[in-house]
Amino acid sequence: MAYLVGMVGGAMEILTLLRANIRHKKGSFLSVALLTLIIAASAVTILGIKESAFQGVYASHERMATPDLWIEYYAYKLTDDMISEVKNDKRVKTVKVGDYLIAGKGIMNGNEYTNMTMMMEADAGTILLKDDLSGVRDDVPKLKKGEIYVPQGLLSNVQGEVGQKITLTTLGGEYEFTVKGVLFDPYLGAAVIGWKRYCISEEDYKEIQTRIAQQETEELHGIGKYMEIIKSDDCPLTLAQFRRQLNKDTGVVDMGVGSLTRDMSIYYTTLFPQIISSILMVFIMLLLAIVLIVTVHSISMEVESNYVTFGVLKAQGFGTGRIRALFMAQYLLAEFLGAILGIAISIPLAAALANMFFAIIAVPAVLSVPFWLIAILLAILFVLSAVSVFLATVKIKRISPVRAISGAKEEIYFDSRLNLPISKKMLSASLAFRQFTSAKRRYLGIFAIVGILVFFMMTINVLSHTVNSKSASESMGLVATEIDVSPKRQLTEEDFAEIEKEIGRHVKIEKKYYYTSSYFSFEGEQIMCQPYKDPSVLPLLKGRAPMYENEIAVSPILLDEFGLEIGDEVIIGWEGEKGRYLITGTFQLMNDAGRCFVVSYEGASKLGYDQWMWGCYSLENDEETEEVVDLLNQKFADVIEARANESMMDEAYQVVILFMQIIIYAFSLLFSLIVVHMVCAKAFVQERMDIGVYKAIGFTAGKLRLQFAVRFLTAAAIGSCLGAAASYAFSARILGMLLYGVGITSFKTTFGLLTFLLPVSVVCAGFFVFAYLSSRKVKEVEVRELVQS
Amino acid sequence: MKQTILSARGLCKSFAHNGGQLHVLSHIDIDLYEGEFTVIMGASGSGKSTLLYALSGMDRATAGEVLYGGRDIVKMKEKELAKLRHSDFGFIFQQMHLVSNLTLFENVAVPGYLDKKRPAAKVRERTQQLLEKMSVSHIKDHLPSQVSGGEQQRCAVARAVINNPKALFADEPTGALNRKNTTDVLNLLTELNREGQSVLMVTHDLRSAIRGKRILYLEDGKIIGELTLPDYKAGDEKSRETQVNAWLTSLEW
Repeated sequence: MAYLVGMVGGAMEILTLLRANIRHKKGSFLSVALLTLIIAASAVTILGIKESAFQGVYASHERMATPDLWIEYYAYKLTDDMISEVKNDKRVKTVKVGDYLIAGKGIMNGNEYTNMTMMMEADAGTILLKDDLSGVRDDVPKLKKGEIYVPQGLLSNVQGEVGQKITLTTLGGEYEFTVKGVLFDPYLGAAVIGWKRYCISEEDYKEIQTRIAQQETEELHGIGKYMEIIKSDDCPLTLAQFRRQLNKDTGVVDMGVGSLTRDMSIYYTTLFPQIISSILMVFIMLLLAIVLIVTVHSISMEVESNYVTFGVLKAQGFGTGRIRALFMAQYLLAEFLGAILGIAISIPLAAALANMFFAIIAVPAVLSVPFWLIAILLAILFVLSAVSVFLATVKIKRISPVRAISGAKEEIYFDSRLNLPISKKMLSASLAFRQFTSAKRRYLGIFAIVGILVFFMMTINVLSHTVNSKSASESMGLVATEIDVSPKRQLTEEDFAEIEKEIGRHVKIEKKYYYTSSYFSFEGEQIMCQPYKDPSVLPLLKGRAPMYENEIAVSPILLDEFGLEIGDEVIIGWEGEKGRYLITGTFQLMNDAGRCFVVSYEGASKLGYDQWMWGCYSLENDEETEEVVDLLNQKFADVIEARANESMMDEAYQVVILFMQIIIYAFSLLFSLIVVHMVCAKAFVQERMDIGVYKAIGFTAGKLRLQFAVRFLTAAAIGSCLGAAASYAFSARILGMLLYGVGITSFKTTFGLLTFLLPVSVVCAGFFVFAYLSSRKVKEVEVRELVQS
Repeated sequence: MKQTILSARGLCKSFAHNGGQLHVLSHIDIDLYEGEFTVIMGASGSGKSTLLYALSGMDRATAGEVLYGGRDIVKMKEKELAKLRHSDFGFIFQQMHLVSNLTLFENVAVPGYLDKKRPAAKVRERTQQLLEKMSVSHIKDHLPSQVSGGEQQRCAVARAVINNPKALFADEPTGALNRKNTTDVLNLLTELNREGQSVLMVTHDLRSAIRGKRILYLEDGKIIGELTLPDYKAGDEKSRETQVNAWLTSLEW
């Protein structure tokens, strides 16, 4: 009982001191609360947006009762026997077969979409999205002639919108449609999935079908079929295993142009939100590290400033444990209040931004906040904070009441070997440097904080620079070209030579790529294959490029997935033909999120492969691209169609990356402001007397504020160098890890001048300006107050 | 005829206190003369330090004027005040207040560097001379924390006179010193005054006060007495103390 009374008594004392402390040190309390608020709000918002996007995708698949496996065929390839075989398979529950018309190219808004797309008739399963993205429409107005429904993924890729015209090229000719609505297609509708399905009117379908049928030859095919398979309820296989096994036993996947399981569709659709949220969450974690550094720094300064007070408290019988508990309560309370407010702010924010990824995932988000995950993150935050406070308050143990009361406080300043003489010519700068070198410990936290901010800002600049830079993209094996040439027939060596000669007359060709893309069977699995005329043009990560007909190079992701090594042999198949191929090396391509391999065109031809090769040209100077494209289209009108590649990246992705950059820069500046404010306020209290003395001997407030700001600028510059060095050393590794999902296993960083200068100047300028503003008290306070305080 | 270098008229200083105003100085009129050693005495809380700060431009008076060179320093802008502090006025604090991360040499030299017209070499030469005069040149590269209180205060005196100020203000300069150091610092101030330096010192210490030529007595923010003494000579401390003591007693000190 007595123990309990003692406990309550102790708690009351702490509470009283806590109240007084918060009142007295409102600035620190509010700053820590504000920093935690920012972290909690951003973490919950990001997780909320991501989870909402994911739930939107899951809910959409559920609503559409999407198939487990979807395979597309040229119509003549899918026979009734194959359908029967699949239907009779024990692992299969239902099979649905349908027809479509192939559109090889779409032009909308002046932008081309060159992936293979499918025109279908609207049926009972067709659903449209509401304009406000709040869900799906109840009605599906019957399309008239010349009208079309397209998925959002297409609109995002061509920057189009409802009401605009789209021209589709089929074997039967070009057709212009007016987009009347956005198709709800969670399976293929996302911007990251190449295949797209459209709905057109019955009248148009019949007309185009007739025309295509008239043009079809043994080589040219314009009509396709698709098969939608749902596996039986008692089939224990995963969808990837199901596809592999079914293909192994029936060969139905090998015979298709392409196939996709629902899991793969969801994976590709949610890939971008996943990567963006991962990058932002890493940033938030770094911000959390900053909060912890600020907490430790703030406590150290407080202990130093209140040395006498703590001595007095100890003399009055207040134990070290209670004083530490006081700090613990103060900082955890600030963080708790910040976190609660942050969560409260973030939920409506997440709701407002839930559809941020709509342009990419093409289905409406379903608002969802992962409370359990948030609870775990907050628990981690509080535990880490408690540990930080515990460690930062260790020095309270060493405060001796007698020494403290007698004023025998440790000297804050100490002699430093870094001291430079005070010079008349650069008086303010040399005094600022002296202040800096004599209290280095005070700035250690700033080095770390600036280092972290600059590191992340630079890393994100590297990412942006790389995805938008041709040379950087090429160094990672991402084919970045100015002119793409699609064939109208199989091109011969002479054709290639003629085209190259024509381009070469106007501009020097840096690199040329001749290749096609098709899904081949790779160890029984359908994998994207790129047969290259000359595979050695691709930069290899390991080994060597395929030189002979029986050689291939694979992506590291594929190597990992199949547990293979360079030197292993694998079975490759094309439309039933199979062959043994040796893996000679690894390379990096982003196609199909890095699940792909490369073979020489001769190697593919060995299996009967005869798809027409594209030509892609990387030019030394891209200013004449449009002119060259026009000339090629005039001169080789019967053979090829040339087009200019304008951007390295689709706008939808660029917007999201830009958004991410803005968030990171804005948060970095905001954090700089709060951190500078906190550190400056404490430094000001500690240096109040020196500032007073300087004023007394004739320094103006302006000069003193400048000195104050110069010190923070120096600290920020040193921190920036540390951050830049860390970014230089680790950016590639970190980005490689974060972007593994899109097929980048080896991230080659390129550091432009702006990559470094932009974050460093933003942070340094921020620290300088905020420190200058924070020192405004120098101006407001009279010398007498400063010296006597 | 004595030359006035600084004069205050109707000087008032109030502070906000418990929601009201605390009047520390009340309509003070005072003149400081060139080359004179003036002392302000008074009990604790009488306002003597506040008066010193207001006269030296370290603090702004609430009302009244402080005229220096024909200008009212109360109305001076911050930059003008800063210039006044480094070129015309010198100030010695009770707690020395040397900048803790500068050596003694640097502490003295820095205000000298503020004078743009003076070459750095001249400043360093003058600093060296002053440190020698104050007998601290042997420890000129030490930090304040590495030397005694007396050595710090001697250094502070050197710092205050580096720019040959027209007026030297001292706020209880011996208040934190022992007997030996007190005598040393007072001798320095006396010597400076003999060389023509105008000094205004605040003290409540009788031994210090007798160094002055003119002693003003402050009570409740008003000057209520003034005593003029003959020039100070070494050895006549006793008689001066007796005279000042009697005067103070008459003022009910």
